[in-house]
Amino acid sequence: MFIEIFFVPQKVVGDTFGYEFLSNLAGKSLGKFNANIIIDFQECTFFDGNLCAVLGNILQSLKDRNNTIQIINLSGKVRGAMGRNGFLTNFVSNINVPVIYHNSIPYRKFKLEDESHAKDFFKDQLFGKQDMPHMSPLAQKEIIRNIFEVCLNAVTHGGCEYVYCCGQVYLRKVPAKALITFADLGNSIKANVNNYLRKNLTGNEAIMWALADGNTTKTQDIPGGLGLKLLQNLIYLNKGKLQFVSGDGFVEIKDGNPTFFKLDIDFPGTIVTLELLLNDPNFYYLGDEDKEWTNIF
Amino acid sequence: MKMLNVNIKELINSDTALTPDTGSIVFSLLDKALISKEIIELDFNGIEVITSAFLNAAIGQLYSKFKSDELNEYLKVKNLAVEDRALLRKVISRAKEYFNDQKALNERFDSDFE
Repeated sequence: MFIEIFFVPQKVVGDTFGYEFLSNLAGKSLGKFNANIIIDFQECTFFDGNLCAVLGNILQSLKDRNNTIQIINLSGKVRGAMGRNGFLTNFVSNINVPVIYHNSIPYRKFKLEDESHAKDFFKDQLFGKQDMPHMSPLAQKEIIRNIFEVCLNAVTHGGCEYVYCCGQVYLRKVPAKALITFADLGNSIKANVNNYLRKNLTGNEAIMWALADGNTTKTQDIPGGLGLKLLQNLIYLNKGKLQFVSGDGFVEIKDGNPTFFKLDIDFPGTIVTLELLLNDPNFYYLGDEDKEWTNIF
Repeated sequence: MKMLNVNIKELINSDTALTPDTGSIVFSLLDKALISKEIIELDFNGIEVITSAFLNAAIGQLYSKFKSDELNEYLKVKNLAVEDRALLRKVISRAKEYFNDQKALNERFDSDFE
């Protein structure tokens, strides 16, 4: 059996270096069938828990193509983090790490048909934990809505069956925050937008086009182009952060301002990471919606 | 005049209105009722989470076939949470732009090939 070893770098976080490692792994694994894939963590001392969504998506797609996966040389800290969020049990047999979700949003893959289950899952994981800062019911609802907007975007535009998700909760940080990553290995935003516009935009240009209000690559009789704008509004009001990685594009948005990075290796799909502040109970503004509600059309 | 009561939660069998596919189920029902000029009461009672994708398919899509004054006359929205109304307004406004743009594009296309 063909054997290929991938070495995980010392630190894998949501930066250019971390995303390039994941892009390289995803790209090289696309054509692998019936091979033995070894993921060697010998050098790795830190792996962002939320990025298990991306790693899991890549490894699961390898498994689906009859490859075997071996994860080796995990250090205590990385093993603990990847064990607690339930990631390792999917890829390592007989793993002896307690699965404790107190500081994590467990590794999961979702189908659109799982909607009701997914709603309860995110509610419990984001707002139902002990010691979680209070967040108003309206803020909670807005966050759940936007999580689904991200998932729907992946399934509708990425053309994939599952969206992978994992998160990390930082209750001791001031302010307390949660990082949640969604990953899919479907069509990249760059490919979709360039196909639609018949242009040759860079990854970052394509991401910015997709984020603009009203822009959509859908061509049917159903309008679109609102979901990602709503997500940006939410993150702006929450004072959180948003990252989009797709193709060679990597855009980070904070306080409504995008920062652009370029990846040297294309990511064959899309990664969205939300950084949400958890102790911001009153950010959602209702405006004057309780006034006039007739002739709305 | 006949009045049709549509409870979305019962129709889609879920308290979570997320996908364009379930939105299209609502659209099909509204489409038939609007063609036969029935008054429809669209009831959101019991819906916990709703997305723009669902509303685009259920209601935004109506603008491909019907005008605002027809919708105002025959379609009544009931029990939509206050915080979801802003979203519905955005969906409506986006749908009007979308179908106006599409109409203009089709007209330009037709005149180019006449």
